[in-house]
Amino acid sequence: MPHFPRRALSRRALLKTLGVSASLAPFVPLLNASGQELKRPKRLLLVFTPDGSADSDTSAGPIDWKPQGTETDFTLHPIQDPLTPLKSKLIVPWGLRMSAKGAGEQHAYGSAGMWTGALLKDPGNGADFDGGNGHRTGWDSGPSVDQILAANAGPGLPYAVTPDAAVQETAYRTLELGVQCGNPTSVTRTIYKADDTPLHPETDPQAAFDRLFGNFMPDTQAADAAQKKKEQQSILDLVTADLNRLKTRVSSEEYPKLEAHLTGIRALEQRLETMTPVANADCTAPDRPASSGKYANNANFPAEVGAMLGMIPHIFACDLTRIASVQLSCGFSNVTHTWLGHTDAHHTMSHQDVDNRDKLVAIDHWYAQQLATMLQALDAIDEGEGTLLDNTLVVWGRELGTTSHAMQPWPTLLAGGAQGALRTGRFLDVSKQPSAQLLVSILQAMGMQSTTSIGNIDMDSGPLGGLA
Amino acid sequence: MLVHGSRPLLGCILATALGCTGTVTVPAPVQRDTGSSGGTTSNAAGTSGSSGAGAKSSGGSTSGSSGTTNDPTAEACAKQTGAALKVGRSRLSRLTRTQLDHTLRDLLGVAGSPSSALTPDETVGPFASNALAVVTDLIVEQHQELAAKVALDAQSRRAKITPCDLASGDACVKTFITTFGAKAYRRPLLDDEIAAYTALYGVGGTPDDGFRLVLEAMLQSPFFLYHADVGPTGTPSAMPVSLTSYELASRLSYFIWDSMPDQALFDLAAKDGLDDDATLRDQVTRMLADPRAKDAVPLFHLQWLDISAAQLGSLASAQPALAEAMLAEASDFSNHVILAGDGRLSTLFTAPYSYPRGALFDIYGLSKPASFTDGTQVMLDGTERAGLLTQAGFLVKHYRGDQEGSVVHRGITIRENLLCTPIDPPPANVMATPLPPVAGTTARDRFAAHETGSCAGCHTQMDPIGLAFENYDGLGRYRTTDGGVTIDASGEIVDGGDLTGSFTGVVELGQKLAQSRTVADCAATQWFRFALGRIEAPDDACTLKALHDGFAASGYDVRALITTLVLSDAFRHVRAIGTQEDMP
Repeated sequence: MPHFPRRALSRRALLKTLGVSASLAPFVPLLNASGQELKRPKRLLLVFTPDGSADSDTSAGPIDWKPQGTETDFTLHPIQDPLTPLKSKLIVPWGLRMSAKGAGEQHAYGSAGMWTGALLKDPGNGADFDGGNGHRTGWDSGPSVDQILAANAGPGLPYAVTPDAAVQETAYRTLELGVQCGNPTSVTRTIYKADDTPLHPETDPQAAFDRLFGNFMPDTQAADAAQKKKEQQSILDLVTADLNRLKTRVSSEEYPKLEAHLTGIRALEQRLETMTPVANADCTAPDRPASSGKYANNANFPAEVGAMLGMIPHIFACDLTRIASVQLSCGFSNVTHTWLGHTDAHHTMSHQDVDNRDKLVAIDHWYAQQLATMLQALDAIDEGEGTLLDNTLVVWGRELGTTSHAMQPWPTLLAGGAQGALRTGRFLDVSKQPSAQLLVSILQAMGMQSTTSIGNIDMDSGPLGGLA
Repeated sequence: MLVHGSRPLLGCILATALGCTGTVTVPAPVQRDTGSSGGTTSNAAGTSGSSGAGAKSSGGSTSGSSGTTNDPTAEACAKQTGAALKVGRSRLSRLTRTQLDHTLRDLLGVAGSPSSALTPDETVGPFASNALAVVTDLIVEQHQELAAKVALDAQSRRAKITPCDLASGDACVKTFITTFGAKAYRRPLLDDEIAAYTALYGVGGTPDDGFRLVLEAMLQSPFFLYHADVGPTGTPSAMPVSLTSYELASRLSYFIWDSMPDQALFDLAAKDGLDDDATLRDQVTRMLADPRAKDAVPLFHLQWLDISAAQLGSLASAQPALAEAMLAEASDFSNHVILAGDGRLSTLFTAPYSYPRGALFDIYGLSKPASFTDGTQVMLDGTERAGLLTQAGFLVKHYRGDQEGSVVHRGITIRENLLCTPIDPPPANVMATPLPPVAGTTARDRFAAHETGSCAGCHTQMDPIGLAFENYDGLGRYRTTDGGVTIDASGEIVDGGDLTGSFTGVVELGQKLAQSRTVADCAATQWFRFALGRIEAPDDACTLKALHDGFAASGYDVRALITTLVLSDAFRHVRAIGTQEDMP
């Protein structure tokens, strides 16, 4: 049976209470105030990989991502073959039409809309980006599904306490990670906290590691910890005072920046109040990865993908967050998959007038392999009533339906099922249903049962039929 | 907000809307670099109410800008004559990554580029600026981590950084906080700020730890991290007001050095000694002679031509040394022309010499002189290469993997960044995919499709410029054939004011650009954007007119332009509150 420290009672404190040393710790169930064993939290993970499924610009017809067979007796598409061992924990909703529209062309509004179901805006408020072929765009107009979920709290949801509570259940309400995601523009960002508010991913695996696991030392001297906390709180108090004083000096048009900065400082304060996980049998740190360095290095892409995806099971097992996203490359991916023998970049190959479908399929297959490795790691962690994967909902999505910019069928795939909220091991033909329905279903499965609408494209779509 | 109606309806939109649309395989730009908004704008200051893109409404005009009758900048300024002083709105702006690196170097002796740990900067026009960038939890935490790391590292250099021995007692602690704090905040600290830092120092318990905590907090303070110009009243004004001396010192130093003020500037600020023109002129001269100017001058030129380091893309990862050589060449060249050479804009486009290093000798077909050291000037074959546009950095950065994309992209970059005449986006229903190379044809043959029908409205503005670059391949090597066919590098600038007309090859294009008032006006406008981190607003019309006229009067000496800019109304004043006109 699994157990690890979280919330108000750390493992170490618990062990102390029980009078045993950590090294000799027997199984200790996590208990709530009434002495009942706590149910493990639900987690959500969004995974982005670039471009659509291959159809090239030839007349040969698309590679369609579609499994063969019946709802419960099916064979995965060859692209998804690496995921076959986990088939019973997957759902392939085939044929969705992306609820993504707006300014720019498909790479841009697909990236912006895939997790938000909201329109990519025209340039304005200072945001003015190349949305492809010279079309200009602003930022997206709504929050992404992970951020909507993170803003909520309550029974059956990942979090019991609200985002503004002084003491949080995890160090991070959400984590945004990525690999070689480019400079901030509308075609390189997929996660939005709100209208006009993209969240940039951390793209250096070493920086992410240091932030999450750097202080992951067992039993730092308690006195040191108290002093360190006092130091950090004092610094944050001073910075907060400065931010508030600066606010009296600037135009109200600048308040959003300073308020966002204050929110960031507040998050650091909350982290000081949140129990740091302690390494133990269930919660271990991964190996410290190499830094991605000053410039994106194509040759390091596979290692960085491995490092970021490899961190996810540790992050969830240690309860550092319950809601995360990983964005691998970005729209218009200029990653050249040299390790697959390719000499042209992913996006370049998607528009060459030669049949590159084999190569494009190889790229998708490679991404499926990376995903499979991570899913198997999640599934190898026993959390009592199920594995970590069983307690998680993993959603794989891309910014296009097909490489020739069709927005249907959207190549997507679910794994885990969020503690049985979704029935896994199924292939669902949901052809032409809006992807907003899937996003609503994600929110419902994660505990927001009364949610029936997301975004501003396919509003009031309700959930995806047959998914739950 | 969801219609394009806010953009000026230029002729090319009307033309293209008629039928350059839909299903055909239209050779058109493939992806322009997504890491930058190129020469178009980010509407930093809020610009004209009728335009979603500030750059369109001003800067080098498309025609007749040398006269006064057709010059919209001059017309706009004339309308403001006699009225109260007008200056575009400034935004609260977080330091860019290079500004932070240079500031940490000058403040604490930190080497390298620690800011690469931060989320990349956003851009205003082609220039890095965080005037509009959203602040996120991650960015705040990255600043915290950077501050902690720098402060911890600085402990070992404490004796060099503090003016006295902190262990000697409270008096030294106060001196340290007061003097160091004034550098970090770029203004004297207020009494309660000194008190707050003194208390924080005490939390450390030891001089080493107290020192560390003070640094760590200062490097996270918004007064360190932001440019927060507001003027002497300390409250924002809807009317332009003079900057405080300290604010002006910072504007000067971040413009000319991309870093914090030095002691001489702080001393002048302390006695309000930056008011008069003569002092400002002297300071500009002094600062341009300082080695720190060699940080900012290349920064301008690399960003202006959109060849900044991180954007050499796949080349930077496949051949980092080559990418670094390309950046170093453009940096050495621009530093030489502007700081050591004749300073002329024209020289940037026509100089028959450059500063190649490493593999660039092979690419240029040159043999490396026996006693060559990096940074040495090398004469080029002037028929093949002259000026920035023939250097590998520009050629490679704007190469697009296939010749079709390169033609359009190189043309657009010239048009937007050097002429300040952005091309309007293609109609929404164009599904453009590039035509494949076909043996026995050149890009020119394949591009014939653009030259007729409704596509022509826009594409004649860019393609004929881009086609003149066909003499250079994806690594910037000179070539005379493409697909076995002799290259015809003739080009044409259509509807380009004083540039309108035909030419052959990029060397000739450079000569054409070098003689153009349109290009000079645009360059002056780009320097304005670089200096102030914002797009010009209608209220800046008279500042721009002064820049354009002053640049012309100086014979297009960029050093004179820098001085004129520093002396301008927009540089010396701030308007912090937006008006209706500033609203997007």
